[in-house]
Amino acid sequence: MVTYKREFQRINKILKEWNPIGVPEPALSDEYTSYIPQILEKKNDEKKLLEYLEDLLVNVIGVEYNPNKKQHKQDVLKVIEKIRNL
Amino acid sequence: MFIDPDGMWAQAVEQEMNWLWGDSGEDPWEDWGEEQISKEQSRTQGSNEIGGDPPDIKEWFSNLMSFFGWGPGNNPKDDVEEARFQEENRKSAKVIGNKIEKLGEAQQTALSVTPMSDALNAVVDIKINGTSDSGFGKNLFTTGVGIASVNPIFRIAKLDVPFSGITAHGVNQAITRGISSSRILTTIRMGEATIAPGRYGVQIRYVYEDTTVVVSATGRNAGKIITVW
Repeated sequence: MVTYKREFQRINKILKEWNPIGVPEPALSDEYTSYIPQILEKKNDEKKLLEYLEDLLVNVIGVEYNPNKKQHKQDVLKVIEKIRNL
Repeated sequence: MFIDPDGMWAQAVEQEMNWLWGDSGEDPWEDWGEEQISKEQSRTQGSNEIGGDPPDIKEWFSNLMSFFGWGPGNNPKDDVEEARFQEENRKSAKVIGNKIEKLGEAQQTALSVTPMSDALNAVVDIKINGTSDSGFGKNLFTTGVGIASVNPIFRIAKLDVPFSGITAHGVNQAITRGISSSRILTTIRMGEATIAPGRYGVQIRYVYEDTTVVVSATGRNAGKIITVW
């Protein structure tokens, strides 16, 4: 059974690879960690996870993510797929 | 009377028991006619052994403002330089604004071909501001998209960005990393500005000493600080 700590680290790795802001190391190591508990909570519900990540990008982080753009959407869906496959 | 061993302050024996200024452990009092008056009071009121009227506080403050260049009109030379600086800023902003617009278009073109998630090891040339087949032209700069999402791509001198605030993520990072608002403002004011294409949208990054402030340059959050480290 995967421990919470291990799941936390795995999701952090996915978020670091995704890196929506483009933060370099070493700041990258904890740039997105505050969102991991919410992601873990929603990781079995694709719809909720998508809503959460899109809200995160647009309203919390504030990058120029556009959910109506196919490329942007696909980019986030890939992240969700990685999270759900943990 | 108590003389502070450090020689900075002395406490006079008087009814109010005020702390009085004393130089290097010296007696903080001085004779003024038949009276004794504290040196601090002597300085403050302009009453010394030579005599004279107390200074006009408005004039004194005005002189101080002028000395440090505070307030409009107190230092005409600085005002002229400031006006010239603002004019240069406006010109830079116009030029850089056009570049940002072009960069946004170029980035979106690149994204439509190669999503950044797949392009970490692929180098995609972005060419802006010229006459190439892509419509952007001369090689003002070239960069790899995946790499450029982390590394700023070119330096700009001054940019007159209308700062519109800070995002929730930016606030969170400033607090957890212990970066004060004054430090952020100093970084924006004094730091070296570079433009970097983020994964979603173009950014301006200000670097001053060990602090970096990332500001969104395009979209509805343009002008907002999105993170600091």
